[in-house]
Amino acid sequence: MLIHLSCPKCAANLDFDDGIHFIKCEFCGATSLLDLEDDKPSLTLEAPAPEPHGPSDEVLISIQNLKVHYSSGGGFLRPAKVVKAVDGVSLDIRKGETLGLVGESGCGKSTLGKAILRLTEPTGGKVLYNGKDLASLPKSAMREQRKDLQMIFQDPYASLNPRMTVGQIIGEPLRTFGLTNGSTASRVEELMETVGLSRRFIKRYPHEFSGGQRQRIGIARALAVDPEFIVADEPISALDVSIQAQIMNLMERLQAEKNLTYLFISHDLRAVRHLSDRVAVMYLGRIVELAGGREIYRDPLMPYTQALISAVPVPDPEIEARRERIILKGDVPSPINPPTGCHFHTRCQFAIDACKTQVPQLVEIKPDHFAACIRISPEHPIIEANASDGLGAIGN
Amino acid sequence: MTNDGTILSVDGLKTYFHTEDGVVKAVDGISFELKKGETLGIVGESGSGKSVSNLSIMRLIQEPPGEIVDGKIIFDGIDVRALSIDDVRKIRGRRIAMIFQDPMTSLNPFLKISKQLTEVTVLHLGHTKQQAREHAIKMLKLVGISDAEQRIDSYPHEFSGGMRQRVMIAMALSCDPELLIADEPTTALDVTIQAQILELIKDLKARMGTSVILITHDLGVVAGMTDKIIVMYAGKVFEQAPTRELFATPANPYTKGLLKSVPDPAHEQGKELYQIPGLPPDVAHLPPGCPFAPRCSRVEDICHSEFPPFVEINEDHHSLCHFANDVYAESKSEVAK
Repeated sequence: MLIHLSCPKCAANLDFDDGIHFIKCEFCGATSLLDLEDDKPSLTLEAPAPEPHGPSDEVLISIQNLKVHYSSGGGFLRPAKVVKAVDGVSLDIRKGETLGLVGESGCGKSTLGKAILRLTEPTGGKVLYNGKDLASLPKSAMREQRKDLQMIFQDPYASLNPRMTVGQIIGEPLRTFGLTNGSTASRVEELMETVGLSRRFIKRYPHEFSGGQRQRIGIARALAVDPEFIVADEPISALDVSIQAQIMNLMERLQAEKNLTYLFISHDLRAVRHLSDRVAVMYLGRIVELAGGREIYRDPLMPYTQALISAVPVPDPEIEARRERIILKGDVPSPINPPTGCHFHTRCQFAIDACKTQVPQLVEIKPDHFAACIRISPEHPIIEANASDGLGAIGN
Repeated sequence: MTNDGTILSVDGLKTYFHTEDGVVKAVDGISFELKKGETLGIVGESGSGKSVSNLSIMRLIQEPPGEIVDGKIIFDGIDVRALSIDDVRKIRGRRIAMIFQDPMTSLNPFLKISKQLTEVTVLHLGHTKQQAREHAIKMLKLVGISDAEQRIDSYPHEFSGGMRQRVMIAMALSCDPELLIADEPTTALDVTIQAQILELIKDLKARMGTSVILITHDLGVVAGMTDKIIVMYAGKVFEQAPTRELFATPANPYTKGLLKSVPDPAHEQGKELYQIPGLPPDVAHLPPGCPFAPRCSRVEDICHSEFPPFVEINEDHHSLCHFANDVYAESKSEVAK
């Protein structure tokens, strides 16, 4: 249903669909809230956005040498095949930040996200949160912790139970954790409003919604228990372009309002750069580079990151016409039997013999900019220069 | 006849689907011309009609429920709509080839790659088995598959996504088509593999002079690959222009919104992205007037009541909007700043 109303601030005419809850005036920029409480819809100006908390230096979650190894096959006298999906990842997630996690399919980024929340059991390492090691908590204690640690999934079609109404879906975590005080419905309505869904939809089923609206339901469900930390695994990948911007803006607004910390997992480097304070790049189970979102884009140090960023198409024909791409050869190798030494050496144009044997460590090359590559060092951070000077394995 | 180098001309194409929900006008009047060696990008969100228009060109619309109700499709002087199905088959795969989004569903999982690749040339080029096999190996090498002699006898599941898409391209190009229609060819692939595939299409285009229609939702991909662009929304062409002009000076509010809502790593956009409010429309129940009016930032009363005109900005640039000239002037002044 289409609604015509005027902006409460500047009185300009606005037209919108009744499925939307927040209406941004195109003329004065004010955001208003749609109220459909009685039959007559009305707009009220939204309270001004709270001061963004911004990321602090305080560490919320500290991941230490986390491993997820799957073994398959094998039998009497025959060794099992081991897939090292996550192979010794150490990473600090700071309070209030969005940490972007990028990498190609099969690099282990989703497994890492799930392992932090124990949706996949880690096989080694620690996840420290509030002084507790999540990786070694008993199952019941971990369940309790999930109140603070939530997840948003990629596929809004598969992650919502088709037989439950929106009200039941969003209310379920409230009941699970006994947070209701007998007022589930009003809390659910409040949550729906927060994510920009009309409260009239509370009795509808997931199939009655579009992809973007379903993702809003998924976000409302994650927010229900008032978490501190959310793992968002490819939350916008399945959505249309115009809807992606809506969900990204929603996630940012919620972060500012609720001081949330996000681990934003995506293969879409443009979205990651837009949303993230810092970005970690993953390749075959290991973190290979970690830096500020803008920094890593402007000055990628490790050759894989360089290729990854150069592969991203830019929506500007002038730039595209001038660009020199680094085209990587071949595919990501299988994680069942990854290359020795630096996993990337099989596709790296700068690889030397030492790369086949030495496992590179994540080293702080520039302030707050870490990279795992034996051919670069704080003194010699530019790999192209090092390669032409014949510098190898420096600092090792 | 087409002596001016036009390989494909589509004029007023309309493809409707007759459903329980009523008539869905999936494609409602699209016209364009494609010259030899040119690349046309068709951009739109899901349900905009971008895929259906190209399935119509290949006569791949299932009838019923679908029906090409109107319009002309002239491929190299041939009226495609007037052809019998047998005659269409002689063109399809041979002179017009198509690559789809998901290579796993477009390859037969039970047949070896060799069988699937040789089938095409045996049928269309009258190759013997031996000739076809040699040709297939040559094509696999051309698309960058190493050890083609061995790998040709693999099954599709033995290849990765990027490799399968290469096999699809090898198959599509094996009869040296004059027109290649690529429907979201890289959407299911990782960025580094996407870069490989796009580079491959560019390279083959330069070497063989193939004309390409590239259908995608990714504005970054069309920016680097195409000569001109059609923006579709709700089955209609909303804007049509040479690529650079469309990006620099869009004359349609939908195009403008779409361009602004994509995170652009090359330019700073501030914390909040521009967002087009609302949802893409239900094509079976379009409002009267402009289908984009409910989401448009500069909507006026006329937009809700009257269908907008297709305004000519200049010879190559058209926009479906009551205020196309104003939007264009705005874009121009923004560029001047």
